[in-house]
Amino acid sequence: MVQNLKETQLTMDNVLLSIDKLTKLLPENLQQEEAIEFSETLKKSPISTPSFTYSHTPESNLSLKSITNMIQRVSDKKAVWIDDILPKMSTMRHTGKVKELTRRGIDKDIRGLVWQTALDNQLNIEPSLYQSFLEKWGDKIETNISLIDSPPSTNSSTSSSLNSSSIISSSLPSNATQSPPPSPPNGFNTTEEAILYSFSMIDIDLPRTFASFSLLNHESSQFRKQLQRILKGYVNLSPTLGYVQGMSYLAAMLLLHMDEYQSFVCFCNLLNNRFLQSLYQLKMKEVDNYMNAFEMMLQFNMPKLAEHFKELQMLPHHYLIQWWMTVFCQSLPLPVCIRVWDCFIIEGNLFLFVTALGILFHYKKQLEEGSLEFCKNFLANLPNDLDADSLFRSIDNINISYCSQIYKEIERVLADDMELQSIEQEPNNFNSNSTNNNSNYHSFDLRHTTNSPNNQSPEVLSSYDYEEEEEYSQHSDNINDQLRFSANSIVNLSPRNH
Amino acid sequence: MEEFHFKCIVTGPPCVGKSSLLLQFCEKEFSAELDTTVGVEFQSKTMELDSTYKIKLEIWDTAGQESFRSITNNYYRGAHIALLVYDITNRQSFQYLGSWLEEISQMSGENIVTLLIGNKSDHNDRRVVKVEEGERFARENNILFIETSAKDNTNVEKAFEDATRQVVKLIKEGKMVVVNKKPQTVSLNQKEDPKQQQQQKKSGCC
Repeated sequence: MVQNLKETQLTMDNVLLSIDKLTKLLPENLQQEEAIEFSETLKKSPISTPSFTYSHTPESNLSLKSITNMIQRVSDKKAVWIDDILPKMSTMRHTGKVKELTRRGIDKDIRGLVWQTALDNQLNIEPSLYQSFLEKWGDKIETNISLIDSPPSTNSSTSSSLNSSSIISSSLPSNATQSPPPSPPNGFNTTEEAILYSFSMIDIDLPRTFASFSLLNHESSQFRKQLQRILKGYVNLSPTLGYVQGMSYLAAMLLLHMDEYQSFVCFCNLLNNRFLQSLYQLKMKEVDNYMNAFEMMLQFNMPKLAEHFKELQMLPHHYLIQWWMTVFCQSLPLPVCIRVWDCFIIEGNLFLFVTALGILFHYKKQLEEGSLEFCKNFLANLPNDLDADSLFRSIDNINISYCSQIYKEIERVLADDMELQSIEQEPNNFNSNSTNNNSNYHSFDLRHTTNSPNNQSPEVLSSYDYEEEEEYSQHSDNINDQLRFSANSIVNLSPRNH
Repeated sequence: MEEFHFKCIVTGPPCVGKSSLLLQFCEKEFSAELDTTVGVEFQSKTMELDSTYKIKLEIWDTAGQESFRSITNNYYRGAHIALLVYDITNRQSFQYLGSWLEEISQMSGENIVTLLIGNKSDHNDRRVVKVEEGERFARENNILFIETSAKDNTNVEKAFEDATRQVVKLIKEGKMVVVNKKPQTVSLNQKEDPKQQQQQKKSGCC
């Protein structure tokens, strides 16, 4: 009996210790009220450690052994991440083991660390860069620029001012860019003007980011000030792209899991990839290519739904732009979204396609029978009761090997385009968006093809086996048959730009 | 009851209350905590007009930021109604309406019915754009005008009624054609005219 009591005491101590630990894991930068709100949000739907919902279990049913085991398993999993995976992230991340661990959710207390390691710092951002930005803009960073300081670039007078050469080259970090952009961003007379315009957009958007959590509603909120500095820091670093609506969600998501400077580094590196750049620069030709790739994946995985969408003329643009630009932050409940981010950060952009397919799969029945209005409405405002496990079960039904091949192919095509462009232009991480609008883009067009991926019935697919990534290579000829690349066959840009 | 199906696009500078207007119109709700619109969002609503017509509205709510034009521009095609919204407490949001209007006429058909909406009329104490200024701008550009408050639901329904009534009027007068009572589909993958392509390539070489 005494022994039992002792054991109980010991186990409870362990549980309390773990809870205490978990509580400490809340981002330190959250003020108390924010922290409470954040933890409440997380509690509503446990993210990665459902074992800690033990308090709802009647004590009599509580198996001491199982609790100890769970705690042991959780700490084992953490140890695997810290000792085995993180030091070799660049090679390990592609292994089935890591993907599988990630799919189950990364423990909250190491999530920030894992994300940072996976996102890396290829841009070699250093603290001095962030410091110099803060010093340069001083009070303009924290003072709300309440009004839009610059007109939208809509009339011809602004486009003629594009030739103005008054560029503030000092606003560009010397270690990040070799040359200033050839002209101020579209529609602005000076780079400074463009930066201030972005600053004002950021100030407008801060309270409108994760608005329902009121994390960012109060001007005095520490979290809001940090987010403001991170976003403005990015604008300072990348004035040509500047701030685009949607970015605030990405930065906020990072800031929920790490401190301000780390969030800044991760944010810049996260955006430094072709897929997100295409979206945020709204290069419609490239975006259309990604959309077409998505339609191919949809056709393969859910042919009936794909046909239905085709009949309705329901384009993926209607829902994917919002889903992808915010990496699902506006579409999925926060705890689910965080789980998706785990996989997105480890596995890369392909997971954004896979998640979107998983969502469609989850609601397939309703969508297959829905009208155009229903489908548009439904996908623009997804039900908020979706839980992570259900979504991931749906994702298990997606044939990822096939999607991966399509994705690799589209990236290859776009990379070729980039190479073509870079002949005329210095490659530049931060200012790659001053593109030549007339360059020859390849297109990745599903519509020219027969739309019958192969003779297999893909409707019911076995779950993805990581070790058999090449399983579908035999079909690669088949896939390639469907990919017809022709220059400039999809062109759809704002006629204003001429 | 005669039935129509119209497509409506809501446009205008950032943070003037476009999404709030729609929320009030479609759900009879107001929230001070609305998330920013990224890209384009969709709503639909069926309304009765003058007890005579049943109007099914497909409404596209667009992001106000300039960068999104390359996406939002595609949604003008086949639209019957454009609601151009500004904020009566923000001079800047009124100042550049000319260019927004220009965009509407460039991107849509000639007969699109445009309604200028001065929103946030509940904040009369913070008003910086006079009613007369809105009226004058509308008169000069031959478009409809109304002031609304998405917050206290002033004139929100009336705005949609005014706009749809005008569309019905144009249809009855034979000045606007509605094919199959369905709006034209938005197409984001328009194939370019080969001649244009060649021209583009040429200009690219210069």
